Amino acid sequence: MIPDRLREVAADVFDLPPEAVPDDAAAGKLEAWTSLRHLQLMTAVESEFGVRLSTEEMLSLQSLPQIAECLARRGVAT
Amino acid sequence: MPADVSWCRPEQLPDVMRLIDAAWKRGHVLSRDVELLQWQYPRRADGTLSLLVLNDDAEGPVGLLGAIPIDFNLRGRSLPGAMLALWFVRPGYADGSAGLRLLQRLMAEVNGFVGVLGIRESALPLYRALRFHVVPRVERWVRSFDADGLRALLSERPDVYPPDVVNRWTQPHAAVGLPSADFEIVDWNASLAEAWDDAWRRHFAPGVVGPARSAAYLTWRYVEHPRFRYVVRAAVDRRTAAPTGLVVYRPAEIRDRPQRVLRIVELLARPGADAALAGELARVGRLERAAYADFYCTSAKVAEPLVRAGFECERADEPALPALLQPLDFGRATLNGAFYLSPEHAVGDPFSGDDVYFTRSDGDQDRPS
Repeated sequence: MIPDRLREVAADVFDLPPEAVPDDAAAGKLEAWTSLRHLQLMTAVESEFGVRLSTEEMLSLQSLPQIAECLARRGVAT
Repeated sequence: MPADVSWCRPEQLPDVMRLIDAAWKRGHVLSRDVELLQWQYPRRADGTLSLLVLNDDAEGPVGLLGAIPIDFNLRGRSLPGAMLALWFVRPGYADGSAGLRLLQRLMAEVNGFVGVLGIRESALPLYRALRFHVVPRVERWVRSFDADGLRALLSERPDVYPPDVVNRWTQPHAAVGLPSADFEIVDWNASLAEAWDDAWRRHFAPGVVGPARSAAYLTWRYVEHPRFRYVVRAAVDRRTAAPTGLVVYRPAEIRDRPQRVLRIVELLARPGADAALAGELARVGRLERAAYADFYCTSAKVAEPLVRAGFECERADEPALPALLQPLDFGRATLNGAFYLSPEHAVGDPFSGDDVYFTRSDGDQDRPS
């Protein structure tokens, strides 16, 4: 189960209703998840959760569960 | 099932060339010229080409990311690096983020410098988002050596070049480029390689951020280019017999026009040799009757000897002289770039100083079309 705040951020970036963003949303699985939207998502995550992702993280975080895990590892409240 | 990313195997080349033609640009030179393609993306140790391929189980190759390997020089430190050239995924491919997976694979493997020149406007936000150092405009120094030829060329497009601009570019220059008694200008040859590498390491590398201009690099990039005839000339100090500078240029034809352009792609020189080499370029420009000569370079400091030899930096608020010649294109002259160095190697922003040295020949911005 991904955190609601993260789902809402993703829904906003992908221009979808939150309920249309599945728990396992990932690049390559969600049609709206394009390269540009991916980077917009990373920027939105940084802004919403007050973190700074490295370029390598931006490229390697390929799904919402991975993003949630990354935030949890950093102790970010989601 | 996501597509797989792997380095291009030689037997994939026909499929890769068909993909370039179908999905990138119809008739693109790299879809026609396998020798050029193999030169630009040299073989890696395992025999694959330095070209990442996105392979779909059902469709075969659907995306590419070319990675021209370079030895990146960070003020004397040698780091792994690559210049990106040719990055695309077939339009309409189901996985809209597959292009980023190509870049992720490359950056993870290089773990050093990644750079690109000549970025499409639509892709610039992507590099910015990834925290590349974006250079919106690589400066270009220009000088005419055949005023009548240049005037004839520019008069084809009075809508682009108003009379005052034409007059400015075609005004006579004072004579420059007298031979220097202290330096001999010689053609590059293999016997110079060791002395050049020594000069590069001792005198140039400590003050340069950019691809290393070693003898091996110069040989691959210019001497062994499969299609262009570059001229590589060195300034040799007559007293010490040591190379103290180097220029690389090529006289370029303009399709369907009699005029020529002298495209300068390297200028590295120690004090003294810089004037001699700038003078040599002026001599060649006159000899070739070049409508104009140009030099794209990220470092204004490097271009200073050219300014003393009558070159001017193009102004951003004026129409630029044509940059693409085959065919002649009056509209696309601005060259941009983006550079990235892994944080473990970078201290501060390594790309903000005037010692950052990239020219138009880095990446694939000086190649046949």
